[in-house]
Amino acid sequence: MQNIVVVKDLHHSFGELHVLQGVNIEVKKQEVVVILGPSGSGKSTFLRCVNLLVNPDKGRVWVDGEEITDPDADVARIRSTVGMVFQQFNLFPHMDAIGNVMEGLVTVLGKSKDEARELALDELKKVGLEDKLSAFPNNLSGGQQQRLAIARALAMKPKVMLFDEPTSALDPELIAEVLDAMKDMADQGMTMLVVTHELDFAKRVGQRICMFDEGTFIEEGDPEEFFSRPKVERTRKFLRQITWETDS
Amino acid sequence: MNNYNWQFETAIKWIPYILGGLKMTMLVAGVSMLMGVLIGMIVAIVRINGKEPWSAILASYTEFFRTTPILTQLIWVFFALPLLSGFTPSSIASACTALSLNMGAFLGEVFRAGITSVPEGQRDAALAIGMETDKMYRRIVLPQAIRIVIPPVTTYWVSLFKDTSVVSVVAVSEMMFRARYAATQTFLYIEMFTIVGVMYVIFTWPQARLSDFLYERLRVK
Repeated sequence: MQNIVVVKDLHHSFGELHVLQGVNIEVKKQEVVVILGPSGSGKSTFLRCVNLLVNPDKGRVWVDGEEITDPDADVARIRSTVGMVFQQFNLFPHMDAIGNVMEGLVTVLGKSKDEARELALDELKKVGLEDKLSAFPNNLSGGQQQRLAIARALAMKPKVMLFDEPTSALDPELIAEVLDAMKDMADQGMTMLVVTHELDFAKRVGQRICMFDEGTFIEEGDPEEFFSRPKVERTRKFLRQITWETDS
Repeated sequence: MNNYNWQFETAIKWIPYILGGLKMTMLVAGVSMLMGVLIGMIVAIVRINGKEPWSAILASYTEFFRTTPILTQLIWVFFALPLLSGFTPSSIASACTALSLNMGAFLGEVFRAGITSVPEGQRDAALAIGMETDKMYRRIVLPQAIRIVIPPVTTYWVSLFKDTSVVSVVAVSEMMFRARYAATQTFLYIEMFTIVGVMYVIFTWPQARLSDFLYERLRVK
């Protein structure tokens, strides 16, 4: 099947810190890839290179066949085909809920306000926020804010969705509603790259689990294989640490 | 001791004369504010972009005008500049120049703080949905920065309105200059400065309330 995201030999440093040390991955259409790994291993930086929010020192990234790292690439247009959901939501606080979703449709895709409103309403219904259209982000719960952020990204009809620890800033009781929205999206065939610590999500929704450590992928596999028979010792250690089991 | 002969009844006859300076006060304050906003925006943008040597030059300008008294700045522009450049601007032009440069220095800092206080995540989100940099500024960063910046800017405006009184020393015929003239004519210093003081209160008070109202109104919901 066709690759939606291709990453080749990505390197990046922040000063002395060599955070990405030759990252390679190919993500197929409709594939859900879950990226696990310790904090500070460079997972977020990798994800931010996919839509060039971080411009890598070296390496190339293609989105649906177009190279975003090409110096002549129309970066903004390619970015509009890549949805991103952030740990801190990053909603626009000066716009109400439907305004947040309409913004990209009007400003980036040039749709009329009426058409944008229709499309935005559809997306808000999908994430269960149809009764919060004129609420401002700061008046929504964390779970509602993140679902709104998901609607904002989905409204652009992206070819792939990037999730950067989408539930890490949420109270525990609000996590499920966000994971539900993400599962719905996966069920509808969205291509997804998900950085998360939610192992249950990885097991139930992930099709491929990739272990990221010290600036590169060190192991990957389908969920069953990955969780029951991890091959690399660092993966085993990491899984033990995040499941809070005693060393055995 | 304690036998000062208050003569407000004589002094109030000068009110229309002093009030005649209001137009000039408003002109100097208005022009200086507009120029100050313009200078401030340029300073903020250049310093945020950080291109040298411009950024460093404007940083020195800012520090220079923030740390010296307005009166000193005014004297430099009015007396020192003509000596050095051979060009003699009118007293009104000197007054506006000095106050504009002074406002520009302060407002540049206000604008810079306003723009940089918009969280980095807002830029990320705007770029991630495919906005070009100019749209990101127009639609996402500046609307949020303006909300942050308007209340302090209105406070500076109120303060500038009063500070125009300093330009009376270079013979710009605004309210304070006229009050001083009236005082020298009548020797009623206390009365005249009280009257002009009350006038400043009357004109700045509604502006200060408007500033408070904007503070309340523009707080991000």
